[in-house]
Amino acid sequence: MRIQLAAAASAILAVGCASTFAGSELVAQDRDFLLATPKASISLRAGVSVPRAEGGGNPPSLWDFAREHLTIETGDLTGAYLLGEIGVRASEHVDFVLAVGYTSSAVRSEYRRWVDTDDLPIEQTTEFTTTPVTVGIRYYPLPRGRQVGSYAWIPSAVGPFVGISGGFVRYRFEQDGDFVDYETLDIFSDNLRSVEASPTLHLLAGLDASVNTRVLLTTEVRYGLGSAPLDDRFFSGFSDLDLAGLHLSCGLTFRL
Amino acid sequence: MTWQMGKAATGVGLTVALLLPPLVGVAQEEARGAWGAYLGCWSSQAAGEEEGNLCFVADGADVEMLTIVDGAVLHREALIADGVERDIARSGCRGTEANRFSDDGRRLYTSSETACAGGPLRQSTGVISMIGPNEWIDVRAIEANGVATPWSRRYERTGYGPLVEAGLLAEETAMLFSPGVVSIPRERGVAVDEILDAMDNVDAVAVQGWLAEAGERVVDLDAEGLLRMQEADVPVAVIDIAVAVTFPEHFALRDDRQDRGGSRHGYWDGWRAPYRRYAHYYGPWGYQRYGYWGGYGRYYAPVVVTVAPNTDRPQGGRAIAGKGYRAPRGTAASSGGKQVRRAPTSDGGSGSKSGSTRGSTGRKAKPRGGR
Repeated sequence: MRIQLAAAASAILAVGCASTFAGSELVAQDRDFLLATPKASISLRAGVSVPRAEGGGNPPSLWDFAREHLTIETGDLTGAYLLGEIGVRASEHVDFVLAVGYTSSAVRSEYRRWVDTDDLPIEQTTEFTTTPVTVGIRYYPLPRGRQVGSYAWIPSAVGPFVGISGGFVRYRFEQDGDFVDYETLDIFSDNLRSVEASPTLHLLAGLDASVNTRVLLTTEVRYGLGSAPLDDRFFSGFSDLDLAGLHLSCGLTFRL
Repeated sequence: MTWQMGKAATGVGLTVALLLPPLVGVAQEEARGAWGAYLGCWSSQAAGEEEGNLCFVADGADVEMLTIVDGAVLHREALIADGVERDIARSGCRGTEANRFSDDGRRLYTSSETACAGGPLRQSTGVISMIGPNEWIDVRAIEANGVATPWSRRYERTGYGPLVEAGLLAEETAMLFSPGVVSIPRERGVAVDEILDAMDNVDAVAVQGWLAEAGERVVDLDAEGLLRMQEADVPVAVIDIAVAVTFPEHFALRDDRQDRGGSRHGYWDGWRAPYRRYAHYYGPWGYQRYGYWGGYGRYYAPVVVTVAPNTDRPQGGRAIAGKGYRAPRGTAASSGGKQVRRAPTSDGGSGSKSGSTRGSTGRKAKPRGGR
């Protein structure tokens, strides 16, 4: 259900982004400037997340393990991405930003090399979600607007930015379905789950485009770094789970 | 006018007083149909072979309990669940006892007061409840010196073999399947109303033991249910256990006495005395050794429950690096267990909500393209 909601929200916002770009010239404005410099902003965006799901190393990676035994490819883990941000203006070129994201993907799979005695596939679902919460700095190299007089503030049409942020990411890796016990060849049904949190670092770049004085269309590419231990009650002997991934988002930002 | 109203009220009161006993009686008559689920023979998991089997055979609206050891009926006693207090006198002990079914027939409430020569008055209330088609529990709160201690005993169905060995099957068959006795199918789970009803009838300590031993989740435990229990002055310990058994993925009921071979669950009340001490203190009750009620102290296990965060997953399946997936150990073939260890699913629901026990599917794997 969560995945469906996230996908629906992503689709709606993506369509919204596209239509906003196309129709931005049609937005009627009573006044094309603000009566004060914006102090903060709120942004809601949606897009896609592409986990890196890195393997290799010793101890082995759960990602490699899943790809080896099950019909899971790294690309299958691409999923929906939602992001909410609150930005506080620190200066003409700098914002402090609190961001909460959510990525979700689900992959239906089966064993690559095993079937049951009726030649039916042994199926399971792998779900991977992350919830990064970060605080950071966003730097705008170009002026975001122009102050005219003591009050009037005229927004710029576009504002590219780069940023860096850090915080924590909580992940949930869950496998539900049928599995093969290689010792007995029994097929058992189970739900294996690991939920942990760890520090994360995000590097980002993007572009704000003014739709009107209050609304911006924001596109962003963000790369998250991080890894976290696995719950060894369910996943034993693996290295920390790679949580790195690329997040592409598009959405609306509201100047406050 | 005042006098007339008082007179009228008195009349209504008298009418209610006359009507009430028959109404209660009708409910109890219906509830006594629950005896049907108990008919047959049972053995206690904690008892040795020398205790034999406890067999229930129909006796009118109620049952007769037979203790059968090596084909011989060593004890025979009627168990009447009409709620009427009866005098009892056994082996120098005297007192009263009463048994009644809950209105839904799911629980048999027991109570007794006995005093043996020179001994203190002992009071007991308890719950007998089917926790599956082939298993029932008897949980008692035995009070002495103002302190109630929970004890429990678990029985499993053994079939009718002991009755055959005793040469009673032919005679008892008609009674076993008496038309007036029907089995009440039991749905899994306990309702808040059942807890409140139990609280009205037995000591809270017995209710705690019953919830812990049954291990069934409280199906309607929501904010409203919790408030209802709180407003009904249900002790915190009872509520805690209700929460714990309802959310086994978050809480575990641990037996602090596992190393000593005790029962699985227990109730903590500061008491940590070894079982032997209580066996000596309480038992035997002075009743004959054989016989249902004679078992206290000898085979009843004290109930000690500790509600703790559930951090273990000792028998769950797992993925092991370099070895593949591993099935849950010790539970793969069992289907009658009450363990609900499924992790919450992606839709936000919990495994316990579905009530399903994960484990072996009964299927076997083979290599693709292999035989």
